[in-house]
Amino acid sequence: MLLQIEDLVVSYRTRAGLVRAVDGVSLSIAAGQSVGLVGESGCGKTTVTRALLRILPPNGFIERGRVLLEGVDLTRLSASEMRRVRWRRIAMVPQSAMNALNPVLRVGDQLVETIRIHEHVDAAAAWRRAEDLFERVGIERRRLYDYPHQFSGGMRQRVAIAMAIALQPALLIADEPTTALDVLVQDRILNLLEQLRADLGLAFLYITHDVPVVAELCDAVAVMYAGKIVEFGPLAQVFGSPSHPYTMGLLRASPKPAAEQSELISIPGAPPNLVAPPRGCRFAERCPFADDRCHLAEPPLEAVAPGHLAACHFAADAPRMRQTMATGDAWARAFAGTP
Amino acid sequence: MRVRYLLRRILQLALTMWLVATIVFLMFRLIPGDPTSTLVDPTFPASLRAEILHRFGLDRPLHEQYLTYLARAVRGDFGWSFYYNSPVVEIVGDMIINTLLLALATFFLTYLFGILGGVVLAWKHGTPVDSVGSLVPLVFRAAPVFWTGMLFLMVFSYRLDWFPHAGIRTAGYAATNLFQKYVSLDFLWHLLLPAVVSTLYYMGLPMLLVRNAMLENFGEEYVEFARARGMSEARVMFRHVLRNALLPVVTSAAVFLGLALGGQIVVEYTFSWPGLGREIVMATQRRDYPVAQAMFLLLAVGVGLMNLLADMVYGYLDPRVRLQ
Repeated sequence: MLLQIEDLVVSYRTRAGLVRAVDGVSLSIAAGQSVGLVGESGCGKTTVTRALLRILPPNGFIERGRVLLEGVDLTRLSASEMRRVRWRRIAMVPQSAMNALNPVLRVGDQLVETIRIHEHVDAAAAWRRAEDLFERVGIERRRLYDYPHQFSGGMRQRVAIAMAIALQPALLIADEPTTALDVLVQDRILNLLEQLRADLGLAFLYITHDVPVVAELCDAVAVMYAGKIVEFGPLAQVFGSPSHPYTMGLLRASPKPAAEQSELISIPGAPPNLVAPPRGCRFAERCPFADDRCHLAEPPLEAVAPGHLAACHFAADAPRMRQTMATGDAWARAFAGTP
Repeated sequence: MRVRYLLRRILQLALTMWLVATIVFLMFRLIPGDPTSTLVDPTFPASLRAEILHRFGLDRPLHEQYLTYLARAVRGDFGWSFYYNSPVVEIVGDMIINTLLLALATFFLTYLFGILGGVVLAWKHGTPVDSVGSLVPLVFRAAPVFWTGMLFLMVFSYRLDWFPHAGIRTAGYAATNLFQKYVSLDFLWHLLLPAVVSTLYYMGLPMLLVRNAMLENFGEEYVEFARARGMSEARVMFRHVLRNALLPVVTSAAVFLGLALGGQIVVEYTFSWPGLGREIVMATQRRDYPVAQAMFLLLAVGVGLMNLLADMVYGYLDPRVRLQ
């Protein structure tokens, strides 16, 4: 296994109290594998990536758990050891390259700097590599001498991608790399990422709330809700036969390529307050199938099929739940008081 | 485009200088008091006094005086000092050098320690280093500079006798040429106290500017992205964040140089530093119009030129400004 996250707990100290943004997440990624991490805004996806690279903001800290990269626990490395892991083994494509690039330095300088702090190469060799990287991601080499504001959004994202693959990392974290772009550009960037993965054999951790993107790019998918993983498994199983009501809702809330679905629905309500999370299932408040058990006891993440895990008391009943979902608006009826 | 911008700025500067020259000219003629009182002994006969007024052109109508003054000032001729009884240009020369050296030393120390201090404060934000470190420059900024100056003189000059208390060189110190006069340990030894005192006074501005600008940048994504790429904290601070935080500091630096050039009146006066600042005070007291006018004009030119410089440097540091 390339990366193994075991029972990771990440908290932020805030005025309101300790917020457990990531609460006991376990996840593994094999070399060359592409894993999607989906969930709505604020569910802890981005915190997971920051914890992996250990670039949490000053009020955030890893409370518990292990992050094993090629067998080495990253949470135990010293600051300088961790710096050598960053980018050399794990790189990332930021959410918005617009703000991720330093506005007052030429993009070439930033790229060359990144190469040279990790590898002992002279400036000329590093610039030659930068030129190759630019051509690889489809930018003319002379644009190395431009500043970030001289690039369009899509081009800037290509610059960030060139930077991400500069040191041939084993794992690439893409944190919503296309949210800031228009649809056509999005498509080109996704194709580029997909091609690089095939060429370089990178493993991908794809963070997004965009279900179709995951369906297109990933081998496996983890669904996150309120700091916990509620469902995990191979793409075909999780999206083909979802076993957690939240996953079902998420799929129904996303447009499908074929016009097979009558209408998009949204899940009523909002995620729970993480300062004082509910005792039972965190989704119970919003779940049309919840009963007393769900409000009292937290369901464990258990196998529903080989390699397919779900954290729901009614996971065995998934086919019935899926049918209810398909035949009508489960949420409308549930919250109208007629289950 | 850039040349046209520069030309426009230079034209603006010339216009500003003309305005300043006019105001300075009128101001000294509005001040009550007779300039001849220092020149002419009250026991002299009235005819002699009229003769002197005539020689300086002070009996001519105001507009004539004004035009003569402007025409000569443009050529760098500021007239004849009433007090020194010699051309103003000759007196001003040495004072400019003295003031320039003190101002540059102050500027260098202020911005070197101010910027370094600001980086440290931002880096250690939220620790005692930051809270105490932010307070100290404020104390020196709030204290009147003559008070700090006198305190330093009392301790380091009179009590400890480490530094001289006035002037720019030891009495009897002989220098054969200008170079020897200023590039000597004796001069540095005289320079240190006034330079340190004014540095302490001015340092708070760049220090807190850098600190606050850096703190504003800490939340930016490019900082997180730089850390994600495995950069050391020192590199993130100095190469990435400081570079972005420097923009407001550069503007303040150029304006500061202009002000210091015109003379740090109080510091020069406290340490009897024979520079432009001290001379402005003394010339005004002596009603020595030509000297005082020249001093004020030099100050204005200094500030104007430095502002122009600030704009140019700003364009270099921030490529987004350069292109617009």
